[in-house]
Amino acid sequence: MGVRPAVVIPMFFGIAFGPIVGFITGFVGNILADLLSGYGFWVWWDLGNGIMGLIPGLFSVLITNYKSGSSILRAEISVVLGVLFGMGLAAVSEMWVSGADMNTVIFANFLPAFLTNVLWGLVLLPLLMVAYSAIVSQSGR
Amino acid sequence: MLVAWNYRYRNSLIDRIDPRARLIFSFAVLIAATSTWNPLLLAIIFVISILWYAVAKLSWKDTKRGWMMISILLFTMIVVNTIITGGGAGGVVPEGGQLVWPDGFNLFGRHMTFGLTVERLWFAVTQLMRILSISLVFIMIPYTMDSRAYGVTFRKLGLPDRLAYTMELSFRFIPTLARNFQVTLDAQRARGFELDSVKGGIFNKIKRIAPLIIPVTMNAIVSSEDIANAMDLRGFGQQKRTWLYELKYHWWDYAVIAFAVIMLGGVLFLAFGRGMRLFQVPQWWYGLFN
Repeated sequence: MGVRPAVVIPMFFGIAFGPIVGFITGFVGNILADLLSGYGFWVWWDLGNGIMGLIPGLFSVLITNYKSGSSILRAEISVVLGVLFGMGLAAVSEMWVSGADMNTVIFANFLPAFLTNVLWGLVLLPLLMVAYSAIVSQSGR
Repeated sequence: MLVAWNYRYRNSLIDRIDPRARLIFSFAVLIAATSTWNPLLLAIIFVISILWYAVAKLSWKDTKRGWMMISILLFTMIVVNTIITGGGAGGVVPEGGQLVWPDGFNLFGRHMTFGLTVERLWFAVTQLMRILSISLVFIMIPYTMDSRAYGVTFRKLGLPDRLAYTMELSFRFIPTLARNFQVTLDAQRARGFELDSVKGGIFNKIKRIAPLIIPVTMNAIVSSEDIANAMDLRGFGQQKRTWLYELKYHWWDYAVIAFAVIMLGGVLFLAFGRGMRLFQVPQWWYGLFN
């Protein structure tokens, strides 16, 4: 299981600012991270990370109070769905990019990415939501 | 913590080519390589990618980190999945085939049998050519493109101002974010926080990293809202924007774009129009195992 705390950023930005911001944070953020680390440009994985921000962003209208249990629960559901579809798309893309078959896609690409991202997202997102709630109430934004 | 960009000017042919032409070429190679499993077409694309990479004058020292990561990907996809476990080629390589070791082989005094086929081994070679072709053209982008050029490049390629400026702003503020990260880390360390050894299970790791991630993220949000307000006060988005970094096509840029279009068109025509899309094993490859 990898150390990937930054995966919660597009999810949180989606919850806080909506689907477009969530998608751009994930998509552009992943492009920049890959460029900075010299990994190159892998558009399907960038899109997958964008979807991980987009889907929580679609749930942002259901978030009424960043500290309430029901809102946090909806946000957590959005995290699972976002990672499922985002990493699903990215993993499946290996079928036509690298010629991988479904077993490889599932066990070598999808499952490691899904488990890592969903765990970091599920644990860190509520913490960020509560912290952001404090900022919103203090600054009147 | 300094954030060092990988880019530097190398006085190579690639430095003279417009970033837009380079991106168009790279995407043409990506689409061409993923359109066919024909080994001859993939070999041609592979040679083109090698030549493109060679003119960039990149050293191993510059790019080794990126190549190490790609090696892990290649090892997983090709060696483990295609060759060792026998997965990784479903739907492309027909079932059955000629065994590489039909009578088995002896290893450490024991007789072993291994179901690797000649066809699957050739598929691994084909897969390698495809993945490396794509990797060669894309891995060089961060090393050969000035970070100031990303925003204007995407804008001139047709992206909206806001999206292109998002890229530009992101690059501009990465060093600032890195500095804030370092300040937060030092402040937390002064309070007894240790990040140096993030060991233990996943929940232990999360517990250790949370005191760093949360303040850095909240600071970034507060700063970004101030920047957004400053941009609004200066009328950003009201009219078409100019860019400090200008791009200009030269005749060689048009030549690169034309080559990319012709290459892509040729591959697509041969793949879909002349039946050269599917995987096949050349006869001379079988001859190596007879």
